[in-house]
Amino acid sequence: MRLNGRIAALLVLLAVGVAACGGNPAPEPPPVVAETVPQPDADSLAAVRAAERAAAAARLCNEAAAAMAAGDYDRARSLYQQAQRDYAGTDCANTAGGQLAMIDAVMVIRERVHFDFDKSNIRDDAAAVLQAKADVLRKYPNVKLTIEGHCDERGSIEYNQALGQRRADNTVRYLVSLGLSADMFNTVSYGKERPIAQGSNEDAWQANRRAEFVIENMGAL
Amino acid sequence: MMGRKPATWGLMVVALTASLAGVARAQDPGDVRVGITYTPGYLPGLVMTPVESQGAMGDLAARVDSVLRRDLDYADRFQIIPVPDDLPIEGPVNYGLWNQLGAVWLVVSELTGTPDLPVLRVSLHDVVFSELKEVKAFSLPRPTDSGFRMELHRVSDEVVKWATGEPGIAATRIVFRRMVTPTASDLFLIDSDGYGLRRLTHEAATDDSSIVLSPELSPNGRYVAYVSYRTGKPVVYELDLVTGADRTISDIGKINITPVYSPDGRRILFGRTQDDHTELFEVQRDPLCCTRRVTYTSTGETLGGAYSPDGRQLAITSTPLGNPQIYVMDLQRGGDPSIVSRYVFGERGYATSPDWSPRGDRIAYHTWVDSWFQIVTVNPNGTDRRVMTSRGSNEDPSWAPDGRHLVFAGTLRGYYALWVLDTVSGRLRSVTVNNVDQLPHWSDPLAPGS
Repeated sequence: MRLNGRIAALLVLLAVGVAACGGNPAPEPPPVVAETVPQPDADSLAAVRAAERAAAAARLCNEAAAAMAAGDYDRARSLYQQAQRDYAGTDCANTAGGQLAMIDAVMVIRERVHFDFDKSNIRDDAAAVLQAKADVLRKYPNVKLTIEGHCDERGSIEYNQALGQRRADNTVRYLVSLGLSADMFNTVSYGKERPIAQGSNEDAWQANRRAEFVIENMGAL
Repeated sequence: MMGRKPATWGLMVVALTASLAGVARAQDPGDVRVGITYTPGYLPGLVMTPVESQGAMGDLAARVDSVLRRDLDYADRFQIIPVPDDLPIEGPVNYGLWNQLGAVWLVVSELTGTPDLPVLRVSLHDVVFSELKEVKAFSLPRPTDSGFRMELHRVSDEVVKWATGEPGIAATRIVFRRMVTPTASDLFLIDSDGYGLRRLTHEAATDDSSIVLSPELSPNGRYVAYVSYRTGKPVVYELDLVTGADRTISDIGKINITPVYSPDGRRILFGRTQDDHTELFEVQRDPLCCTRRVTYTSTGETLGGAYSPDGRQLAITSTPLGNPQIYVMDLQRGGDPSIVSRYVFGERGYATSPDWSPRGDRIAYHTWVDSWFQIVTVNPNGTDRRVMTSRGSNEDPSWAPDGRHLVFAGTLRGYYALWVLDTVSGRLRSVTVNNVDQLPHWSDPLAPGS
């Protein structure tokens, strides 16, 4: 009984305490965050992580697209490969394969061909490069290319205008002989105005005696 | 030979030319005479007394003096004899005194009139015959006018004509292209004595890889025909230096290059794509019409033409033998062009960029000599070929109106400059330095008001 009496007294005290609280200002509410964040469960955690992954992958893809637009295909390739490796299943990773195939095609299309001094004939090494190009271009018949003819520093400025044009024309002629449509190609000669290698040595001269392949219509790929 | 390093070549050039330097220094310490084909010739001595003046025109007289003195020197027709400071030059001309100094000619000038409208009175005395050869009063424009220096050049040219029977070349300009950045070019104009640089185009301002080429002044000096890539391919344009108007001369086909004016200024000759190679065409300027094909090269390229002074013949760059060579062809009679640059069977030749002397007697071009370009002149029938330069690499010669001076772009002293060479004496001076200036073209004599 004594024990019961004590419990009863405690209950009374508690009841008084509750009644006293009811008459005072309400206590500070708990922080909003604590109220709004749902208790994490496994499903929602995975969703958050998936969203974060997708966003990171999308950033990679954007970066890769920018690199492609800037002509930095090596970087674009490495970014798409990273997307495939690290973000499998994301939209970016799913499209990366197609993009990598396009980059491969672009690299083949853009590979330069080179010429001998004061010559515009297609050398054997250039023929192999053009053959590979033609194989790719057949799959992309709507591509438009500008083929630029360039010369090294040793020729005359003005004569090189004509020589560069002849190099570009002969390159087109060779591609057409492989079955491609002449409509795919424009040509321009830059003579020796736009060297890619500096220096007065055979390595630089050889690098500069070239045809460049500029893709005017990426969308067609 | 092809892979020789420039440094090695430079040392060889030094060795080859060292023996010439002594002669050059003995004659003219301020200049270098180049080449191996020049023999020091006789130049009559000329004394020019300081330009006298009245009143407050002393500064102007000094300015006039320096221009006239430089022009007479740059004519390369005289041995300019300095006037000793203590020489009494007042009073009547003392022919005996000047004779003792070695003078054949004496130029005495005085600036009169007003500072705003000065008059320059110039007299030329023949010291040998002790007589007044010519005298004339030249009314000058206001000294602040942009044409003031050019008017002084005309005075100099007349004095040269009094003495030699042939006008000087001071009242002329040179148009050229300059690499304003390592990748962008624009056109510039400069007086032939290196003053008055003026920029003609501003393509580099909007295109960091702008390409302009082959500027050529019309015979009256008012227009410049040139090539620009501003639409993405080489197109021939003509710029009116007076109004600033710019018009397209030819934009047909893939390339339109190397425009030159006919001697009467009525036509422009240029290279254009024809059946997948380059041929020369002529177009009438005013009104722009009636383009006609001039060359019929079955294979290879033909470009870079230059008219003979009578307009009846052309010197052209053409490749029927595989490599570019210089040919002469008759515009009216037709027939096959005849080669005038050196061709050795089995050797690879390379000669381009001909320019026909205004006197008609020589054609200048550049050609490979041991893998470097050098300036060559030759008779129009291919005889008497003379290599004019031997150091560095030198390209694109253009004749002055006197037919003895050439301007060209080159690296004679190890750096890029536009050089003026007197092909008679070998004397050399630079018009511009420390810029990559290329493709110069020397104007005809410029009329007053130019």
